[in-house]
Amino acid sequence: MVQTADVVVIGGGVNGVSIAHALASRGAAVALVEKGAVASGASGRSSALVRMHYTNEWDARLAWASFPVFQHWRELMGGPGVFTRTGFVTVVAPDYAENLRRNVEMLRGIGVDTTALDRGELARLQPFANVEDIGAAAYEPESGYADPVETVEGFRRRAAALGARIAQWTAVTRIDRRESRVLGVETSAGRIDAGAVVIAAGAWSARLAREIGLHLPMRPKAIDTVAVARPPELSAPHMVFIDNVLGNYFRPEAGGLTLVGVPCQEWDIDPDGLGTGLPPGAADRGAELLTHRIPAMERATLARGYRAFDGYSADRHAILGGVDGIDGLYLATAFSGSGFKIAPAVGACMAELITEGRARTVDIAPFGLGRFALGRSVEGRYPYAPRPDHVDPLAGRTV
Amino acid sequence: MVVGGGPAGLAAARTAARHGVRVVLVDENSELGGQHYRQMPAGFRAPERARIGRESDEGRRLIDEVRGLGVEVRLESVAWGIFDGRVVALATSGESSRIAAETLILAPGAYDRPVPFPGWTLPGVITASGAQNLVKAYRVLPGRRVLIAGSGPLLLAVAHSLLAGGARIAAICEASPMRHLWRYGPRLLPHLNFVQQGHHYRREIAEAGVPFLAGHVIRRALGGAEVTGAVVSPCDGEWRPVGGTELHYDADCVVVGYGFLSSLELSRLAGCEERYAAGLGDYVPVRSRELESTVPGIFVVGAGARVPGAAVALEEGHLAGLAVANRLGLLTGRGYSREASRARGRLLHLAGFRRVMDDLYRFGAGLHALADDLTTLCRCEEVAVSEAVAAVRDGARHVDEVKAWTRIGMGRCQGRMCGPALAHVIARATGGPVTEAGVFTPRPPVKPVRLAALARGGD
Repeated sequence: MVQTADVVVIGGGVNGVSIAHALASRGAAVALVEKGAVASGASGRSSALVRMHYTNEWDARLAWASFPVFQHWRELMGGPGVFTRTGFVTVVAPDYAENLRRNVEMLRGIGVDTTALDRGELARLQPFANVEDIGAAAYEPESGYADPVETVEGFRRRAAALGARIAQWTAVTRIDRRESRVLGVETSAGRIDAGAVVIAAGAWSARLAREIGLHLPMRPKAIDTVAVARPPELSAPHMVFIDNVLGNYFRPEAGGLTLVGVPCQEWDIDPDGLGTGLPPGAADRGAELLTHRIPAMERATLARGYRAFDGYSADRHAILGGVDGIDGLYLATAFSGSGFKIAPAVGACMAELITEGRARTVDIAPFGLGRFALGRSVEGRYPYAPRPDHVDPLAGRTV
Repeated sequence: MVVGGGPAGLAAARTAARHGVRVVLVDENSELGGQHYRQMPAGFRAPERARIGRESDEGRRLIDEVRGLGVEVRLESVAWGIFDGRVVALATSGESSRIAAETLILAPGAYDRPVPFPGWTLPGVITASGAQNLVKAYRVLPGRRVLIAGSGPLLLAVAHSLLAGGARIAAICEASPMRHLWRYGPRLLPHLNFVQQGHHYRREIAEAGVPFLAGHVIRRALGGAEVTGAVVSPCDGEWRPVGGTELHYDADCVVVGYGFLSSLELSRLAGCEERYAAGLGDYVPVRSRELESTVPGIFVVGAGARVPGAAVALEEGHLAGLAVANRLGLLTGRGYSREASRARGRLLHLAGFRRVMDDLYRFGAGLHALADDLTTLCRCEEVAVSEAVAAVRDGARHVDEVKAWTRIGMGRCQGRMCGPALAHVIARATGGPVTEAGVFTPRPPVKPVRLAALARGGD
C-alpha cells in the first residue's frame, strides 16, 4: 500500500520526534519512520545535559532557544515534567581561563544567565570539588538535566496527537532519489511518497545517505557512561559538571546516583551490532576521573555502566539543513554526542526551513553540509582543550 | 579460579587443589561457607547449647581443609565482571584487579525469588534465607510472632530455627498442595536421611501447635510504618489465589520464601547459554557431563546451576574440580574416569531426590498474579506494576524495552529483584510465554563496586 505524506522523518530519536512534532504543529502531514522503538538508539542512553555553555554562538543559540521548552515542559507539552534543575558548571585549566571569560561574555550577550567564577568562588559553590587544577569556571544557575526517554516520549505523544503518523518497528530500506530530488522512501511496511525527507537517523545516517550517493563526513563512535551511587555524605545532588580539564562530565541522577561520562575512542562501530556493556577499564577510568574532581566519591559504589553511540561529524558539530543538488532532502544528524539539549530548537528550525524555506528561530546556516567543502567549522574563536575522545585517532584521514 | 565460597565452590577448590591445580577462591563475604555453612562472624560467641544446626561444623572442617591445601583465598572480593572470555574483574573495598583464569568455576549460589505482592516492601517482611541468616549467624530473632509463607523445605528449616530461638509462629503457608505424598514413597526410600529430617521438623512444628496450611499463598502484608499482620488464602495448583476464604494473622514479621533463583549474572555476561525450566520458574545454564557451560573453560556448579541442596552442590563442585584437574593434565586416564564416574553415580542418586522435590514443590506462575496495579515492582526505582503494564500497552515486549521506558531494573540491584517478576508481568499482559519477555541484557558491574577500589586499579 502506498502512503503519502508531506514530509517523512527517518529516525525516532529526540531530534526526529522533535522535528515531527514541530512539522505537525505547523499543519504538515508528517510520517516518522523508526526501525526500533523511539529512543532506542543514542537518545535513550543520553545523559541529557541541559546547559547553554558552548564555545560557539550557534550551538549556544540553539540551546538557549530550547531551554524554555525543557523548563516549561508540562505547560507546553503536557505529561510529566522532564527537567531537573541542579545548576551547571563547566571548568577549564588555567591556560583557558581567558577563553572561558570571553565565552561567558558571548553567552551573556545572547541572554543566558551565566557568570564566570574563579577557583575560590567555585570552591564555595561546590565545597566537595577539588579545584586545584582549575583556572576558571562558568556557572549557569538555571541549568540541569532532563529525562531523555520521557522527553522523546512526550514529543512522540504530542506529535501523534497533532496527526503525525509515528511508525515504530518499521525500517527505511531505501530513500527514493530521482536525479535532483527525492520522491519518498521505501520501508519494511511499504512505500511512502513524500515531497521532503529528513534524515535524522543518528549513527545510521551516513549509511542511508551513501545508498543514494551522498557522502556525509561523519562516523559512528561509541560512548561509555557509568552510574555510581553517591556515599551518604554526598547524598544531596551536586551540580552538572563539564570538566574540560580532564575531558569528561558528570551529573546527578535520581535515586542518589551520579552519571559519569567516560572518554571512549572506539570509532566506526556498527550501531546494530554494538554490545551495550562496558569494555574492560572503562569503569576504572571513570572512577579515576570522578574521584579526582570529587575526592569523597572514593566512597561511592559503581552501580552500573552502559555503552551507547552517536554519529560524529568531522568538526564535532551537527549537520543541519538541505542538500545542494537534491531537492527535498534535509539533514538533521551528526550531533556528535551533543544533540539532546538543542533538540527542541532543531525541531522548530527544521520545520521552518522545510515549510517556509528559512529557519527563523535560530540561523542554522552555519551547520550546513556545505561547510566541510569550504573548510569552515562551527567552532568559535575561543575553544578549550580538545576532549581526548574527540580527537580523531586517524587524524589526516578524510572522513 | 573459583567464584563463590559456598559448598559447591569449596568442594571444587578442594578437589582441584588436591590434584595440584593452582586455585584462587573468591568470595564477596568476610567468611567462607556461603549461605549453607554460614559461620558466626569473628568476634561473635555463643554457648554450645545455643548453636543451631550441624552445618556450621561440617563447613568449618571443609573450610579448614581448603585453606590447608594452599588455596589462595580472597575474601570480601566481588567478581563484578567478565571480559574477553575468562578475564574476571575483582574489587575489594580498596583495590581492583583483573585475573585471567585458565579455567573458571562459577559457584555463585542463589537468592530468594522476589515475589511482589501488596505490602512486600513493608519493613518486617523478610526473605526466608534472610531470616535463617539472622538466626544462624547472628542469633537474632527477626520477630516475636512470625508468619511464614512460601514453598519448599526451607520453610520447615526456618520454622525450626525460629522455634529454637524462642519465637512464636503464627502459621506456615506452603503454596504447594502437598497431596498424595504416599505416591513419592518408593522414590524417597533411598533418601530416608532427608525424609527423616523433614519429618522431624514437621513433628516439632506440630508439637508447637503451629498451623501448617498446604496450598495457601500470601495475599498481602498489612501495616503502615511496619508490618502488623498478613492475609493468606488458598491457591490452585498453579499457586494462583482462589477467591473466598481469607485468613488474617497478626504478626510482627512475615518471612517469605517461594524458592530460589540462580545467580546467573556472571555466566550470562560470559555468554553461557541457558534454557528456561518452567517447573522451576527459572533459567538453567546448559552444561556438559563435566558441568562445563557452553563457553569452553567455564564451569557452572551448585545452586548457581539450579541445583538445590548442599549435598548436590558438594558433589557438583567435586566433579568440576576433577574435570579441571583433568583438563590441565594433572589427573588423567583411569584415575580420572574412576573418580568422575563415582561422583556422577552419587549425583545420579541425589538426582532422584531432587526430582521428587522439584515435583512436590513445582513452581506455580500464578504467584506473579498476587501483585495488584499499585504494587511496587521495582524497589530501587520505586516503579509500580501499572507502569510496566502501560509500557506493554504502548508496544514494549521485552524486559529491556520496559526498562528503557520505565526505569524498572535500573537501580542498585541490577534488576535481580525485579527482572524475573517483570517478565511475568509482561507475559501476563501480552498473553505470550514468559521466555519471550527475555532477561535484562547483562552488563558489568553485576554487583556494586567501590570507586576507590576502581580508581586504584591494578593496571
